Amino acid sequence: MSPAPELKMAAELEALRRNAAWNAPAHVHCLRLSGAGAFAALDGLCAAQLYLRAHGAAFALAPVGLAALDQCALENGFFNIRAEGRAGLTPLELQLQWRVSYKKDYVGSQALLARREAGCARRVTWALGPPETALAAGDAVYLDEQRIGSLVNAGYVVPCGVYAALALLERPYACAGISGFTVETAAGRVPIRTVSPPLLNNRSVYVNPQHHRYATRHELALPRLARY
Amino acid sequence: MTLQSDEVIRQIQVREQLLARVQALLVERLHLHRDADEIDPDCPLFGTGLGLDSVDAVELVVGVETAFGLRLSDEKLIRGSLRTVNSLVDLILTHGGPR
Repeated sequence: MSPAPELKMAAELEALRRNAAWNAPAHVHCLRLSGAGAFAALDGLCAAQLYLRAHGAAFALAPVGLAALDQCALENGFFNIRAEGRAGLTPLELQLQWRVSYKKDYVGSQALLARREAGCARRVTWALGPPETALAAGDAVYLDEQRIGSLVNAGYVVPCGVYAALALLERPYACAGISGFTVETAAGRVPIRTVSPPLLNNRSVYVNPQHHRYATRHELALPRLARY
Repeated sequence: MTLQSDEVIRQIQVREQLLARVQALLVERLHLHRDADEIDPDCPLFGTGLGLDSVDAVELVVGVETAFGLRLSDEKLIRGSLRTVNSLVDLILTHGGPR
């Protein structure tokens, strides 16, 4: 005999609560649903989650935590609220102008306009360190002996075999494709190279669901995973 | 200023000039309702970024070829380079820079 719908939903909600990585309440909030609609959406998400948990392993899928999502953000050049988002930076410094409007009036819009008119003094730029040397948030960046910024986020990128970092650099030096800067790490001064994200080739961009199947994934001529 | 600093500053100047040209090309050729300085170097060009579509992609490739005197033929390289202004600049530099 199958459980009553209420019990089934309670069990699914409990599963959802235990796995914060799926972040279903946030999805429901984004959908602007409430009441019965929200429960229906939650029900659907729970069902999808349970299905993926049951069958995902066959497709190399596994639940992940926030650390994995943060790593993906760094590798793909996405904004991370838990890293650079806590550095007290503006959209101008974070290269997030595409997410804001200069034509609408909202809380902070006048301050942002004033910052823009004053000119941005710093900007984030992605960078790669040498192999075997750990970069960490807070490390200072130099051009010769002149300090030009610091790292606001860093992590090891397995496919590239190096540490990647997000550096907050003074505007005249905040430029991708530059070798010649150095970082003061715990192990001493090491060179870095600024690069343009993404650091990895996201292969879903190259897969066409109308032509490709999971079963033939090994036959696809995908580009090299690491861009650098 | 050391020799290395001078070289870094020269590299930055070359890159910044190219960035400005690509930003202007995006605004003028694709008629974006934005100022060029609103287009950050690592802003995504498609999807939720600037919202370009496949028609814009063709226009952009033709625009880059015309403006910089290049012949872009490697489809995989082009596809991977249509992510941001910076990746477009990388593409132009990979092809030897403007002519």
